[in-house]
Amino acid sequence: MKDSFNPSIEPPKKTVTLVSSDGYDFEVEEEVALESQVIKDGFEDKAVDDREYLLFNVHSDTLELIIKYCEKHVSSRKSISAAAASSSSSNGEEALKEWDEHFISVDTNTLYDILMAADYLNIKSLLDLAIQKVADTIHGRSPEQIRKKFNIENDSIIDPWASE
Amino acid sequence: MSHIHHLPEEIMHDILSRLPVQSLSQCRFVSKDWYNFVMNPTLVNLHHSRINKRDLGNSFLVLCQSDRHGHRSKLYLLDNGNYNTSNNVRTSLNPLKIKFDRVTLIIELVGSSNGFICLNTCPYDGEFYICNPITRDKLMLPRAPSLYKEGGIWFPSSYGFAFDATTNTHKVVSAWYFADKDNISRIQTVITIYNLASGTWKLIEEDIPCEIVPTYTLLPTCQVFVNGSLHWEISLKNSVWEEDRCIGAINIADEKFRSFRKPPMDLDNRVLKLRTLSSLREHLCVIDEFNDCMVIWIMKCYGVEESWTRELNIRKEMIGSLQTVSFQTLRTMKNGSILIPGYECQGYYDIEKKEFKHILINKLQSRPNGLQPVVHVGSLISVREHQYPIRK
Repeated sequence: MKDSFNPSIEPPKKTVTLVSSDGYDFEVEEEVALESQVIKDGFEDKAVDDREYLLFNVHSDTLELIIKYCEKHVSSRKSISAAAASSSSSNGEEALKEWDEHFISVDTNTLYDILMAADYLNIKSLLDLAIQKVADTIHGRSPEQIRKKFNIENDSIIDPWASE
Repeated sequence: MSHIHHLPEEIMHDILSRLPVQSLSQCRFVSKDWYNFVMNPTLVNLHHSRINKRDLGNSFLVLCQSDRHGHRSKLYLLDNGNYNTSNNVRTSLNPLKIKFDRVTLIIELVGSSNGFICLNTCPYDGEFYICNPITRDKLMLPRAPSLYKEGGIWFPSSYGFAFDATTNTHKVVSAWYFADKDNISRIQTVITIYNLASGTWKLIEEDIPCEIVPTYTLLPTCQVFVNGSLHWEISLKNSVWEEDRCIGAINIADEKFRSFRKPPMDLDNRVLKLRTLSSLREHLCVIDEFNDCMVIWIMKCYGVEESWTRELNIRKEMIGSLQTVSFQTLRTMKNGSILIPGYECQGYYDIEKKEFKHILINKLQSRPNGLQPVVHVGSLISVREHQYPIRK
């Protein structure tokens, strides 16, 4: 609590600008952008003052979602470690899991876009979340239902045991 | 997600490898592209390597049921996570239809190991199939080389099936005993081993100074694979007394035979109904059945006879209606529960929670001894790919 006496000691947060494939600028805090391993790697190689990233493969609609996810994870991590430091009980991990579950419950096209963006930006936890979501979508569905769900053409492979 | 095909192969593999094996198996029939995705050896191996870590949805019971006279057998596949243990709801059984190369009436389930099961379709002569019960892909093994010796006949006595992780291959072990027509008390045992990768039988040239108790003199027992070795009951003398029986083990990697004693007979004036060899929590165990309870011994330190420890005592009243059934086909399962097959139901006893659960299975009416369950971890790996000389 003592630190809060002089909040001006904390330096202003550094930001970077992410540019979507359709030309929109998103200004985000540096630590949020660093959730992406690709940006992090680039950041370490680059000159310090170059703070703009062109993401040719990520549409603004998707980028907005990705930033939302990264912001949530950065802030949750902080509150979880703060709770652990003060040894107060916290259900932060569980709450975050629930949030993730809600976040990834999107239509298949959006899920596909998130999956591709998470792969491109190399955000491991998000990629894992999206992959598991697709796997859960497939699980328990018949071939016919899978074709319908993912809009796949039936080019007639026959299950030789289906009639039994 | 009409573009699901455009996902990088790596991601597609990651998605599919997370599915339970039966769901993955279904995915083959979505389209030609999906068929190729699913049957890609990289994916099959990735899925196979993940199943042991995430057992859920990949664990099955293969049941072999024989009729009253033991003249006809049927195979069933039961999804182990899928049964209903509440309110006497019955679980349906799916017949496991395998197209054998010739008419097959009697089937003996030898064992399950690393994605495959081994079946013996001619118990008195030894005709083996290795098959994947999920894909129903099967392979008939060549006959073992015939053994010959003057003055008597060789009989098959016991079998085993295991995966040798050191050479990455499955092996079928078949033990034979020699019946001397002039001196029936003369004991001679030899062991032959089939190696799926090399496609050949090998005679283990080792003099085994005991008799492996033939499978058919016991009730159908599940093979016991612990610490890289297959185990059988053996008798040192040609004797029917339990006291004379020991445990024989063949190491699946170096193919060497050894034997050790069972735990002491600790009767306390009680009548021991039966002793069964089994495995529990990756240890060798012996289950003693008394009228009112079962005592489970564990060999804490493998191969050290002094380390036999009385680990568990399960009172029979714990297991409800199954207590009227003899426990001769009782098995233990890797996850620490004990499987107790009954007449038309199966039961699980969870050791950690000390809980008992019933599983009722439709259409399964059998003598308890006529039912042979084997725990199987499902995979899509192909029997043929593991066979010589197709393997590259």
